Amino acid sequence: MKVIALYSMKGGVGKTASAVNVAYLAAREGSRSLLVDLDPQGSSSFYFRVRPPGGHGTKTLLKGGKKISKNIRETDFENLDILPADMSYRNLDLILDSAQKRERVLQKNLSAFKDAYDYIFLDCPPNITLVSENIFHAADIILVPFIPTTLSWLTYDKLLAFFREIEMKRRKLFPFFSMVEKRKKLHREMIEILPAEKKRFLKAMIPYSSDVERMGLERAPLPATHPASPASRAFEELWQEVKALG
Amino acid sequence: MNTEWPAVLLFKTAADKAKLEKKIPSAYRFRWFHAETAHIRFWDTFDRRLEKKKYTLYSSDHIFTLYHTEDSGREWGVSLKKTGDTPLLAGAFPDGNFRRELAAVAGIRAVLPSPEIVKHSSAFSILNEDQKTIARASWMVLSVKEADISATAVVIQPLRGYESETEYLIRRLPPSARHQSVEGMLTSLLPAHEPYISRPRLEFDVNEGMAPALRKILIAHFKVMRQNERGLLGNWDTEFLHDFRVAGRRMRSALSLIKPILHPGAKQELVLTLKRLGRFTGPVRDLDVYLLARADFEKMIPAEMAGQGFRKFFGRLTADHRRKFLALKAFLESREYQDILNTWDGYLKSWEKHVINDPDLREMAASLLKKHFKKILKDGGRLKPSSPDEQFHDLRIEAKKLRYLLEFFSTLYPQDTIQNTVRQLKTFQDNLGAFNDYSVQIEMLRGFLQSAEKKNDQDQVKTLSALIAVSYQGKEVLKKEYHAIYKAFSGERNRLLYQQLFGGGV
Repeated sequence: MKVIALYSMKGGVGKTASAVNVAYLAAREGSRSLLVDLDPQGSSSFYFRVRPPGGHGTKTLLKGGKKISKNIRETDFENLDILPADMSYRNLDLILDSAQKRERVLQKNLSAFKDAYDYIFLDCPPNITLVSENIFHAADIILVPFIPTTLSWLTYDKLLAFFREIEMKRRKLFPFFSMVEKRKKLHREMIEILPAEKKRFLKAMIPYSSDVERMGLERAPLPATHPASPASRAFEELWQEVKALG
Repeated sequence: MNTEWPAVLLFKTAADKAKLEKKIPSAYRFRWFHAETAHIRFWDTFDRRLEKKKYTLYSSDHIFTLYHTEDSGREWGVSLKKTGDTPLLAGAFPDGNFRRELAAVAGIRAVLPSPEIVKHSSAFSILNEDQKTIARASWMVLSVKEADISATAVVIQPLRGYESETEYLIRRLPPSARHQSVEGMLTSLLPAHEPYISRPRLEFDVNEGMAPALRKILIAHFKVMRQNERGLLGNWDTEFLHDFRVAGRRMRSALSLIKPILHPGAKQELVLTLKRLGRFTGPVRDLDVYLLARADFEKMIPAEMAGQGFRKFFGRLTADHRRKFLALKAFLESREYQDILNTWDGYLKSWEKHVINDPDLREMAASLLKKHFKKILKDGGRLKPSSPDEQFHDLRIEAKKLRYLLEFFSTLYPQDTIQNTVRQLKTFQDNLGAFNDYSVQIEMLRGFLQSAEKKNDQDQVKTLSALIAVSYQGKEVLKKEYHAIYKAFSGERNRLLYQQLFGGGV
């Protein structure tokens, strides 16, 4: 089982779209996949038309094992399950704060699924908190969507600094360009410079696409509804690259 | 709620798709997919070996699936080009795991098809108000033409996490019977099987005498004969003839051992009909035994003695079998056989008229069993390795008589004790039976050898001479082993067992 997190400190960078599409592509290949929606906004659950189960409460992910299992929902797509978002994840930090070995609760609880799934994808909330720290511990690979702008560069440096601070392996971090608009000069320049500056930049680039925006209307992964769209192909390249990371 | 999924629902009254959809709350809708038609049959041997060993075999069009009903990991599938309603031996399927597994369960028996179930099914999904699929399902219209049955069923598998929502919808559907599996639901549509037991276990009314008991024995075995007729005529597998024949022999034994009950004229007439039947069934059965043991025969002799001669010999056996089988078939379809059946029917119906004696059931059964046991002890004790073959044959017949009597009256005695005696006797009989098989075999082989010699067919002469030599050796070994087997059978413990069961000194 491999745990792959989609993480960004900034919102609106295509994180959820990436999580949904990449998880779908993994499942389509026959890998048993679980998408864990940790974002209290619940966007990835929304994309799969799954509502948060009533009364599943804050503590699900902390209690682990059977409690999590009970709340897992099968999506309409073969091999792909989802653990829907829970509004009360907002309070997760407070609870984690009082837990023992608080940075590793998520890691421990996800390990219960090592026989059930080949991949677990984590769609993470955009901030740095105790929840994020848990995510960093639990993930084998952390994918960071990166809009080619200077602001993103700054944010990414902050993340690296945080990793140093908590003595977390930066080798886990893999940024990739997201919402790329080639007609913009800035984007072109950043794409030119950044991969040389930052190690482990993935080759795949997700273009800005109205198809991706429409995912919210169609409420399905893009490669399932628009397989020929350039954005679908880009997600496919991204998944192949991530899979090869080993 | 702890429910088994998928839910397999057989509706109590016929329903159509539209009616079904109307029962569902409006927030939900069905999305229909492809429809298909399949022709399904379930298969089992005549004596239901698959069912007894917890296997199910069914065909859907040309695909056969065999599985163990209590171990989901054990499932095998195979495709057969030509399928219909003809019974199939394991050998009819392509070589592989499926065939090996079926052969292990069905043995030499053919699997027979159930009436055909025609299944028109449409796959559909159940969507909630978010247009999220919560369950996948199949709607089925089923019909069994031969039984004039039609029914509708739905199979629903909720997606993970949507079990209780699905259960809520199921409760809104028209009333239905919930089955454990689709196969179970389908088989519930088929007519019930007439139970078949080749050796009927008979319960007697001990207040009645031996005459009604004898009638009961005869009726039960007459039924076994008749149950096997169809499979025998169709040559579905060799066991139909075997069971048919054994039932006849047991009837003959009952008539001649349990006496005097019937008027001698009546008894004589009935025995003669069975003798006449045996004239046709015996030769075919003997050839069946040889043909079934072909591989064993081949192993018995060195390779250089087999080859061409062996193939020719078995070719002759096959041709001979065909001829004799056709003669048997013609006999069973003849007026004469009809008359035999009518004779039996007549006697069994007007039974009391022919009864001349009706002794106490328990007393007579015990005295018969004691008498035959004693006779075996006496005759068997005289046998030496040098004794002529005929004496061994006679003893075999005696043992068989005792075996039949034990089985006829087994319910009069405590089950574990009586079964113990049957087991003891079986070991004893096995030795004598094998001895007899060799003798009959040698005699048959000699006949074939003579004709091969006349034709100067050296290949066959070589094979047959080798087979005779090996059979002779086998027979002599059994003769030597006999003494120890007799000693065990006639031992103190077994004598006490008989004494305990049937009373008196043994």
